[in-house]
Amino acid sequence: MTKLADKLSRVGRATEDALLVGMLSVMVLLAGLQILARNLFGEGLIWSDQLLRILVLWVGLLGALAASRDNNHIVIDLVPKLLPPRAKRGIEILVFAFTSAVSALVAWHAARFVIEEYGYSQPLLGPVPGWVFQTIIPLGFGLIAWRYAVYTVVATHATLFGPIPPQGRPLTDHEPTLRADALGDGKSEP
Amino acid sequence: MIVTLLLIVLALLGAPLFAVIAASALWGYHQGEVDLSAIAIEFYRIAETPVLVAIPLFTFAGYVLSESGAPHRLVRVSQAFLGWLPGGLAFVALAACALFTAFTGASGATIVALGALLYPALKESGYPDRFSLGLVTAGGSLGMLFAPALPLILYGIVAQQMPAGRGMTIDELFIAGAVPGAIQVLMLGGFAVWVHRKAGVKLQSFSWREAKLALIECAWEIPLPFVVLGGIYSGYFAVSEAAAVTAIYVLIVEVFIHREVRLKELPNVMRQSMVLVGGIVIILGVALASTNVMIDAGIPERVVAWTTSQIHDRTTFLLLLNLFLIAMGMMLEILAIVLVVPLLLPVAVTYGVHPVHFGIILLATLQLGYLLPPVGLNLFVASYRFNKPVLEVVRACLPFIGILLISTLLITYWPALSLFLIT
Repeated sequence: MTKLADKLSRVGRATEDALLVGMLSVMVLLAGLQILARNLFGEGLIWSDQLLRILVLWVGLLGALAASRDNNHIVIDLVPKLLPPRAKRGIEILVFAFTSAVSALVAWHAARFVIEEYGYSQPLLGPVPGWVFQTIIPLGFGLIAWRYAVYTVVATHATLFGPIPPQGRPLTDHEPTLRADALGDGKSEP
Repeated sequence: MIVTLLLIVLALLGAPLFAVIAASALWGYHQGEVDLSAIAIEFYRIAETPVLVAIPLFTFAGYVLSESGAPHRLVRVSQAFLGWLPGGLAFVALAACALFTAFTGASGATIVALGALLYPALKESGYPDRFSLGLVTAGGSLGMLFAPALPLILYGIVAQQMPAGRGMTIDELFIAGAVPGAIQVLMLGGFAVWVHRKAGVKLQSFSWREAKLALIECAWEIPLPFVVLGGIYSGYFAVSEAAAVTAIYVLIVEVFIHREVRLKELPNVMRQSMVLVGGIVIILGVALASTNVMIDAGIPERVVAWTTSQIHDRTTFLLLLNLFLIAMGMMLEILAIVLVVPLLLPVAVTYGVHPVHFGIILLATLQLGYLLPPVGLNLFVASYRFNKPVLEVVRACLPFIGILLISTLLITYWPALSLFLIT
């Protein structure tokens, strides 16, 4: 069971990375083609502006998801820096739980929005309807919610039963307290 | 009110800003009896804002540049050409930092990539240790006023959502930032010349040979700033096109010509840069929602009404604005933009501040926050990078902070500096 979970999370991360890298590459190429087309033929490709903008949305949310993986979102970390370790851990649990709950709420309502758009089925890019591209919003926020839920569980576990050692090298001060490794690790703990 | 306070507390306790802003937007919808799925509609506007294409492309290019030998070549070529001037090397350091920050956006990156080259070079040519340390630390916060700096783009995007900022373009911001940015570099450079005189720094003699070698080594990178800056300032390229050109050019030069970033490493560089982009985009997306909530709830008007009842003249307002922004800059860094613009821009406009000028004041002041103890980001990056106690870095930075403060006041109270080129 844990092996399956480990495998799943590995596959998940690999997919996420591949999508991120693939989409950024497409963006670079497409943006280049666009300029070429404008200069050579005097007009840009009609669909590529639209596609580029959609790619920003996708790359942005996938990047945000990747940032969640490292618990590397933009925060004000003044107060946590000054707190003693115990208080810090308690606050961390609160912050993780809050982030997970808010992201889940956004995901839920974004899903409602996408379902509604599905009802209209307006084609946006060629024959492809808009809702296809919008699914990344509930999907991205949903996965971020899931990650922070796992962090909440791992951090709570650590407070109650002692820390879960990270895999590989030890943590330094400049790294987030939770490594991505904790994800797989937390589950293999009894 | 209680919910707002709770959210502020959560933000101060280190909750991701996107979650705090999203929660405030959702709460605002709930209060205004708007369907909560509106947050997705607002977030989707990320895909309807053409200029945003520039963000991933510039960030990616910046990361590739940082990973390559370009910082080293940049320093060498500028040293070869300016090293013989009194204060020349210090000028080089400042100009290189500003250029690098303008292109890479994140100012911590400049200290890490360029500081490591410039700090020893400065010391070696006889500048006092403390001066050199202060210079590379302060230099890391320059450049945010020049095209194509991300903070300017972000300000433009958020300000354009407001009635007060409509009609303003990002190109105007880039043009407006050029002179104030140059003034900051020149003022710090002037200080360097003075230190140079006092410390008796030895001058590097100009060598045609070294100049030629450095130029050849840097031949591929030299056209880049000219193409990009020239393209943007002349209006030939839209910002997003300039970003595309930069990304492709940098990719070809560093990966295929210099081969300093190996193809195998590229996916990792891409991923790292997109983590930063993701952090920015998700905050921007939810901030678009919360901005609209605030506008619908009439909060900017209330802030305007309250401020105008308390502060009667423009000078006092600007002074308080500076103080407030410095405090924000210390805590929030440059992303504070998306949070404070919806509240402050309408107020500033009521006091007759031009939205473009406001953007320049905003960035000049926030970038000062990067250097201020106890929490300025640059202090910690420099302390970490150069292995010096934070207090020593702070002391080294003091004269630079003073000069930047003066230049910021100058930029604030002399609007023509920012506006004369655009009106």
